[in-house]
Amino acid sequence: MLHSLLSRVFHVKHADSSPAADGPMFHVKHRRRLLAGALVSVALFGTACANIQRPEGWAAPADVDGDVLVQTSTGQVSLVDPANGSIAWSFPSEDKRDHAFYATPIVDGDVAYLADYAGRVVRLNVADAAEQWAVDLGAHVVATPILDGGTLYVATADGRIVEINAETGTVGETLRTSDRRIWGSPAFQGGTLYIGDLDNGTTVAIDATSGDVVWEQEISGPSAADLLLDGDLLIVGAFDQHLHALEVASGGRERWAFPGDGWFLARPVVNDGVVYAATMNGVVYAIDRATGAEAWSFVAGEDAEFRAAPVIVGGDLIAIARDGRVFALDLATGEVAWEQDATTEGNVNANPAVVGNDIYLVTSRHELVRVDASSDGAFQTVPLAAAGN
Amino acid sequence: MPIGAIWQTVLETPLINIMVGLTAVAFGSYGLAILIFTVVSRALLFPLTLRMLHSMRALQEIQPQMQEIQKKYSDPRRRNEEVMKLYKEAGVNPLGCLGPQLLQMPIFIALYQVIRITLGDTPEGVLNLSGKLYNVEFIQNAVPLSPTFLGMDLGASGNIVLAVLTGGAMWLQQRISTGRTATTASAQGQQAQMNQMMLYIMPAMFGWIVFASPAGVGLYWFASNAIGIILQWIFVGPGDFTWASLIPAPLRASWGINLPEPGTRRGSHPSRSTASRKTSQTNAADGSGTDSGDADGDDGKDGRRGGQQGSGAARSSSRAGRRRRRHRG
Repeated sequence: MLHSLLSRVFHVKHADSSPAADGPMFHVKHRRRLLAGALVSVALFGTACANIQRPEGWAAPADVDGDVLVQTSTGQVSLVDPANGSIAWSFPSEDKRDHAFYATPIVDGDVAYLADYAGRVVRLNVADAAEQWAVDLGAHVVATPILDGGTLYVATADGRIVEINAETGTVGETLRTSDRRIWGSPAFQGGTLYIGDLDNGTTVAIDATSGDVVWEQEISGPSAADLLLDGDLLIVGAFDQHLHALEVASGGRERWAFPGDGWFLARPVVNDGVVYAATMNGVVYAIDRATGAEAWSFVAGEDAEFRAAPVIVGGDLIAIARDGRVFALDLATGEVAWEQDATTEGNVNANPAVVGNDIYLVTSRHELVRVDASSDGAFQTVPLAAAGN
Repeated sequence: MPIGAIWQTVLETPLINIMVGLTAVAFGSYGLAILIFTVVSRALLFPLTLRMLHSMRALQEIQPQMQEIQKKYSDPRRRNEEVMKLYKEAGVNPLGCLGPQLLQMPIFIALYQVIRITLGDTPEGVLNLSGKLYNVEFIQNAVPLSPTFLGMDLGASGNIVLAVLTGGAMWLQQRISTGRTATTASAQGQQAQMNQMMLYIMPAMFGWIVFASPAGVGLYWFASNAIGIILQWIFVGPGDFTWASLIPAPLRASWGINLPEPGTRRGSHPSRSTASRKTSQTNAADGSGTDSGDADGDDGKDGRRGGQQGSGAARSSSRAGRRRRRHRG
């Protein structure tokens, strides 16, 4: 199409016999230069367009004894002292930070497990970031892995559940293989893994020891949400604009499906028999855990979008909109206790980390923001700097 | 309203929803949705495409007369006057095909963006789709879209097969077009170089762009080119292109395959010979005419053209002229 256009503009195809070829406006040399310029421009445009979108990652911050393990630039995780913003260490080094982190770091005592988008899983010494082992799973990893004792279960975006010995890094059995993408973090309880999928909307319970399927339930919508297991109820947020509650002891039978106004991506939170969930259309719902009936809803306003999981801090439900607005809602009524606009340059896509009354947010521009829930949401962007600077 | 917002509201967002809706209709296959969209968009643009093809054909039809004028007049101004006169007689506007092409460009660029957005080759991309979908149940329920089609990941770049197919299709289309002018091009070195550049560099460049783009874009591009070849073949004809010309010369020689003489045309519309006849008559009238029918290379092999070199041909020429004038009007 375009080449034909160019050929018309520059009369290339017919130039051998066209008057324009010899006319004063288009001298052959000029036309050749113009054509060459156009070709280069189109090539540059095409190549540039081909590389517009890059994975940024939405790994949530992780608490490490008061410090925060956070993705401070795409593909690089740092241990930050939130009091002064000093960075103790960063991993990997600047020249090796090729792949974003979507999976939240798992901290277990003095070690941390990281899984990047390219499927590289590493175990680090928290004190100095010394790498203890690393394995390459050869597939994207978006979901946060599950650590159970000495075993790390990693769900890959190509539908596998891979078992890794947490001590040695030895890759064990692949518990499950499917062609369905897994983006939401699985849930784990009593030796059973619960997994959702992005493509077919099937939730599966798998025996973590044998890999056998305990039950499989087809809910009506695909899911990228982290699964929440609360007692005998597995809560799955889906793109079909429903929040599904499945009974894990009854073969995954659906107890209720709550209709929302948009996609459910953020992991819900349960408190005192009420499920709190937020949608990507900017509405927060309080739902009766037993029946699925709506207790109240809160509309955050136009253009609000909830991707980060709501949390309960200081007796309030804290909901963080993607544009940086933070809402503290009364658990019983949904009334706004306080509201802060912690708007920064980036968007809030990652789940928050809660340390005492402090809520740590990380933005798509890798800014670390501390919100003090005890002071009506007073917030501060933590200035990051290498230790000693 | 900023241009970006207008672009999104008028073109990008509706197209996103159309593609997602088509996917729902096409049994959840995004690849099939791209193919359906390609066919539908080409069908909607067919009147304009037809106009472009007519313009292309009309220009090709008057090539022999162009050569005659170039040979006959050394003064560029006089030559231009004669050519413009010829254009007028044949009802040709050399820039007439620009309109349809320009109209297709925004759609093409929007589709490029839409494929990137809808396929969401990053996790962020998939989620960003949320705010762009209309609140219609069957559209909302169609996402996320499966990127797999015929074993290809439509959201991934680096598909060498699609790059080769697209480059090949572009080359073929270009070859069919430039084949008609190969003889004359060889007479003028610079123009021959230009044709060679168009023939090889453009397909190579677009092949590279397809290689660097998501495969879904390559699928659209290849399908669109394939449709373009079919339309060109039907409405303009293959010219002197033969499939045998794709066989390397040594093999052709050993297999005893002979190609038609350069400039020999096959399957083109009867009207293609009429302008030359008319010009020949004009030239004869001013005492300087040559037999443009021979120069045209029309040896009457094509049965459809047999017996149409006389008045019938003149009628065709008039038809072409009227058609062009009607389009302009």
